[in-house]
Amino acid sequence: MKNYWIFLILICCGCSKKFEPPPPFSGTDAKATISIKEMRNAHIPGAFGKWVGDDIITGIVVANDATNNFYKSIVIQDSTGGITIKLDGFNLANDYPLYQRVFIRLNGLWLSEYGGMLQLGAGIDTTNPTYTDLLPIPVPLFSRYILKGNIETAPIPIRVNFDQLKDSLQSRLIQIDSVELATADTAKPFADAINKATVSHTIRLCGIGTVYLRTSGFADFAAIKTPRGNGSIKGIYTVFGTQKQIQIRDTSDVQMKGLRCSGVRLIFYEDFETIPVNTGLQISGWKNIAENGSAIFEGKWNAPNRYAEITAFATYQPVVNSWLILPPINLNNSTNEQLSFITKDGFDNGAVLQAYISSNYDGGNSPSKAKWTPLKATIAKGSVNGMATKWTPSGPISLQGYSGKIYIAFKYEGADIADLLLKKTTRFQLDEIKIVGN
Amino acid sequence: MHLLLFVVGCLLLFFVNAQKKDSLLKTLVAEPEDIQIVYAEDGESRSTSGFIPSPLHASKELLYSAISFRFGAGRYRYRGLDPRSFSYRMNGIKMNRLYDQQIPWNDWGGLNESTTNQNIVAGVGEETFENIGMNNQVRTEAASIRPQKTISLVTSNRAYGNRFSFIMASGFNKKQVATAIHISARKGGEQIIDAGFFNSVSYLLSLQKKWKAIHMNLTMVGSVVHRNTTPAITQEYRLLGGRKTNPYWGWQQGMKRNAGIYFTHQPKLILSAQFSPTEDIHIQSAIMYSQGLQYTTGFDWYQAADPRADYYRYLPSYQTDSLLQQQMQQLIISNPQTLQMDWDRMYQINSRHIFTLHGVTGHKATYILESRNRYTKQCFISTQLQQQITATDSWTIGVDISKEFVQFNKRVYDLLGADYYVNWNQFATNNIPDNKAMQNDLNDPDRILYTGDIFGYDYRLHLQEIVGTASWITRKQKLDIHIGGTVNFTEYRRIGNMRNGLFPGNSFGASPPISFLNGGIKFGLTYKHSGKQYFLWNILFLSRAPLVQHVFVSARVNSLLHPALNNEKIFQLTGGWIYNSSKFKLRVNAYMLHKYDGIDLLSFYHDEYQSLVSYALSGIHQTHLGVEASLTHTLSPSLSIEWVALVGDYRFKTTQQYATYIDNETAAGDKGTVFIKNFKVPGTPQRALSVGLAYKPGRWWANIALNYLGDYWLDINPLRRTYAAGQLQTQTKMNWIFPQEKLPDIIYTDLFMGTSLYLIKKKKQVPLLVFLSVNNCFNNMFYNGGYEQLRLGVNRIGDNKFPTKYFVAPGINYSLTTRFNL
Repeated sequence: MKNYWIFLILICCGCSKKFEPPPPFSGTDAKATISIKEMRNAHIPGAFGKWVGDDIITGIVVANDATNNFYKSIVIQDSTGGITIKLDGFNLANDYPLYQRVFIRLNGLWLSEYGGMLQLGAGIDTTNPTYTDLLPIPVPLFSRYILKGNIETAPIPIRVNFDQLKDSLQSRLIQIDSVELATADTAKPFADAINKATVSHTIRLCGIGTVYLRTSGFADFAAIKTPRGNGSIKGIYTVFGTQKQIQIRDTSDVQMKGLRCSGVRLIFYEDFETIPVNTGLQISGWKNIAENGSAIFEGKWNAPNRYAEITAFATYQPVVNSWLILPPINLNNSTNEQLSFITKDGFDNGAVLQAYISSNYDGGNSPSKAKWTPLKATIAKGSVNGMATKWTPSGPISLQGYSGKIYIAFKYEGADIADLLLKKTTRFQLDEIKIVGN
Repeated sequence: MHLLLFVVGCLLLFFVNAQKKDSLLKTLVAEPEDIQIVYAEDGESRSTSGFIPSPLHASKELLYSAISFRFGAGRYRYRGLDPRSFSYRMNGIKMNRLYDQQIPWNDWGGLNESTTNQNIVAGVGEETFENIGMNNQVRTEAASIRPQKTISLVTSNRAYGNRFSFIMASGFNKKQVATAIHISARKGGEQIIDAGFFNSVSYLLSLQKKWKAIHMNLTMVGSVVHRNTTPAITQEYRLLGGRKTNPYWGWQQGMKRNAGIYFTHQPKLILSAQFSPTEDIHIQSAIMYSQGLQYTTGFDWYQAADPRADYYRYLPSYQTDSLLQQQMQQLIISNPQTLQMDWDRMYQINSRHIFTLHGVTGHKATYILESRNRYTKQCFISTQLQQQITATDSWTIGVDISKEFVQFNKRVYDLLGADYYVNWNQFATNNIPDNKAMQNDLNDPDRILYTGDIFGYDYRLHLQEIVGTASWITRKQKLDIHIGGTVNFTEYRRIGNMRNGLFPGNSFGASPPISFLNGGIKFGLTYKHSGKQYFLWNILFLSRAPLVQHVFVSARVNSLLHPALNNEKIFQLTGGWIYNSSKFKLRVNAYMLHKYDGIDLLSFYHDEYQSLVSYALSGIHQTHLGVEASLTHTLSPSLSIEWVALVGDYRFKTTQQYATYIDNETAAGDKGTVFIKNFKVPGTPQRALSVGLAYKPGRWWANIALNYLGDYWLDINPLRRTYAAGQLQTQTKMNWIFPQEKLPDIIYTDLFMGTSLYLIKKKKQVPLLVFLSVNNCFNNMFYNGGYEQLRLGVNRIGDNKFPTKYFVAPGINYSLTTRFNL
């Protein structure tokens, strides 16, 4: 009898099995036997080639279907080249996230071009005799052909010019600088998200050369508008026939905020050449405010140039805050606006001149009430003994992200007290304030 | 004593093995096929829902015991009736759930010994007004169980493997108090299916007190079941995976982990009373309270590939290229794990994405295990009064009042290594630009989920039913006349606990109540030609309310109603002939049943919509015609031959209407006609034949029966018979393209044998019963169910992208019961 009760108790205990979670993934000890370049070179152009031999290539994933711009494929590269692998699955990014190292066992896989683009697949589809195509690797065979390593850091893209684009760069992460979308292609959706149609936008270097920004209609970012400015783009280099293309992983691959090559318009300009000198600046629409202390911006003349100048020197005031505010500027009728100016410093002992932008300044005499955002400008400094001999250009300051009526201000912060450590009376000269845009 | 048991068991096992070898020789041509036992699992599929497990000791009549015992393995359903046509009463209380009107057999599974005391009424009955199918009436009152102290041990190669049962019943003592205790434990493993498990403890406690005219009884009954789920599989997967294959398990740290878990525990407390104020009046009354939980587990995933190993895209047949097919087959042969779950991969993916949402930073799960839960609370009351008015006349009235609250929701069962999951609906993300649509619950958007948290959907159904019946019978010398009527009031209401992002207007809160009033009348005659010969005749008109599971078309996400909320109407005519002599016992029945205005609801995952879709069917008109016959031919006092033949023809008589409802779309789906006029009613064999030999020479007995089942049609996918589906075809005649699929005929042989012995233990005689049952003795391979998959691929209707799924019946299987009284 006793045995049966034990049997009963055992049954109850056996009900809830606990499963230990598997240990973290530790990668594979596979080693590559050939480079991707060697594999690519072994391919006879135009042919369908089945790989024979136990060769292994390795690479890290530089593109996948995470944003659905790459369809049923991943792109890997090593230091010698890249290759696109066709895989018959969705949500591949879960298994092959960006920068995952993978090892591909080539034996039994097929190499072939699709529109000139070399790809790896699992077989050939001959159902349509006039149009054979590579078959993607079926999901259950992933683990047979692809071994996974660890996730590594992002590789630095290869910086290229238009004339350097060639087939050996296929399926590699590249970057092209100082380029812009053709005027007709700016501020257009990356692709046709409604009809799920692929769109190719033209990218040019100031009207020279062409590469196409190709985006799938299924891409998550298809409906986002293309940038209007000039800058750099990185992505995977692909070809279709003779057409050279770049395919991005996400919109952060496109950094085009700069001024375009052509169609530059002057939105605002002031070189102070008509102002009276040695007196406080008084220009119609401008504000010249001494918020704390009595220092204001003054007109100065150093033949043949006139400019604005400010210093806390000889004010004998412990707090000197002064503003020079430009008239309101409307950004609604332009794009890619850039601000620039030049400065010169003298007797630098720590006072600060800073450029700001505001959208909510009311034009009154209390600028501190408004929200001012500092602008990334280079301002002259470090001329401890006397005035600097050369003007310091601020560099182009993008006003992208601002629209409508904005104010630009220069704020001087200094102090004129006896303590030499706390005395801040640097003299700043300011000239050539310019806003341009397309 | 144990030794002896063992020896007896071995001898019997040897006998089984000898049989098996013999059968192997005989069936060399048809290879012994795979074994898979199939359970009637609640909500598993449409096919299983109709399966009624064998009630032990069915009515003594051969015809009805054959339906339970002999044809159960082929899922024969009495007269092709739907599951709601069958009832079960325990101590007078109707046990059928209101939600689907099905009998919850699992709730007292394993208590075979204490639930044997039952009476079966086939059809609406004479003295009472019962359900139109079979009506089991079991009494588990303490004194209804034979006084005993019995231990039963069962060894088998069936899913529940071994069973231990202990029953102790006292009978009435001097204080007129009776007690009964029954405890049963079942345990099973991988006998039937890979990574299978079965753990169950069942209990029944009864206490009865007798006063002069009143018996009061309190019974508590319940069964905890924790076991694997059994998926239906395609023929391709079965052939690849071989015997006992199961796609839902995989290795995890050296253990076989099964993703499909089924759990249920729904204890019931029944207080019953029987009262006879006079000799002629008998009143019985009972109240039941029941509360419990049932769940099954499965996967949920967010922006990831389907993790299920038998997903059609992962099987060789999905490849169009023969070389790739071969490669995959080779891979499966060299590495059978390809056919199983990859738990490691899911853990890896889950531990990769660090994601911050509402200040919670951690690994957001891509894959989780979820439990799909059903919480049920029931309060059922039943009263019946029976009065003998005159010597010939008696009448019976009864009232059943039932209230049931059912809550359905999903919970996070296991985060599979991740830190949290989010209550989002991944399929709704594309539909509406702002992210409101993807919120499963707008009342608590972007909710971070941890283990045990409710997500997805959460709603309750408040159901009630009031049934009144009255019957009157008069027994003349040569003629019995009986007449009866019933009235049924049903009310349903849905209460949503979540405001779904796609259906903010009608998902949260209580829906207006929906009620139905129905009734029925019956009339019957029994002509008693002699004590040997009877003629029976019955007519019945009945209407029934639609089931609540068909009323709300997308109950998970809103309270939309089925477009045709009709009560279904039933007209039935039966006739019977009984002839008994010393040599022959014959029973012949003929029946005709018409069902009008039926409705149905089919829910499934639709590839094209990427959503759960419901098809609301209406205008279902069925006709069931048939003849049933049984004959017992007594050759000698110890030997008799038993013949049973059940031949029917069940058909849909008209086309049906369908309307589509999509869980992840607010737009209305398409509507149309389903062209299935004259299709056979699926889900049960329509023809069943059996011949058996019963041999009882003395202390032991043996029973062998050869059974045949045929004309068994598969569940229909109505989609394939719509105009839209026809348009995709080049041919014009749809019936040519999509004929209904018939399962191959089923033949199997069952053997039952047993003996009663006495053991001498300390000079005391201990009675011992040994009983062996061997099913499918010749190990015939057959499917005992299946269904056309409800999904269709885009433009791929004609091909086998979604082939039929089958349930594979067990091969030769035995159970050996040893029972001894202490």
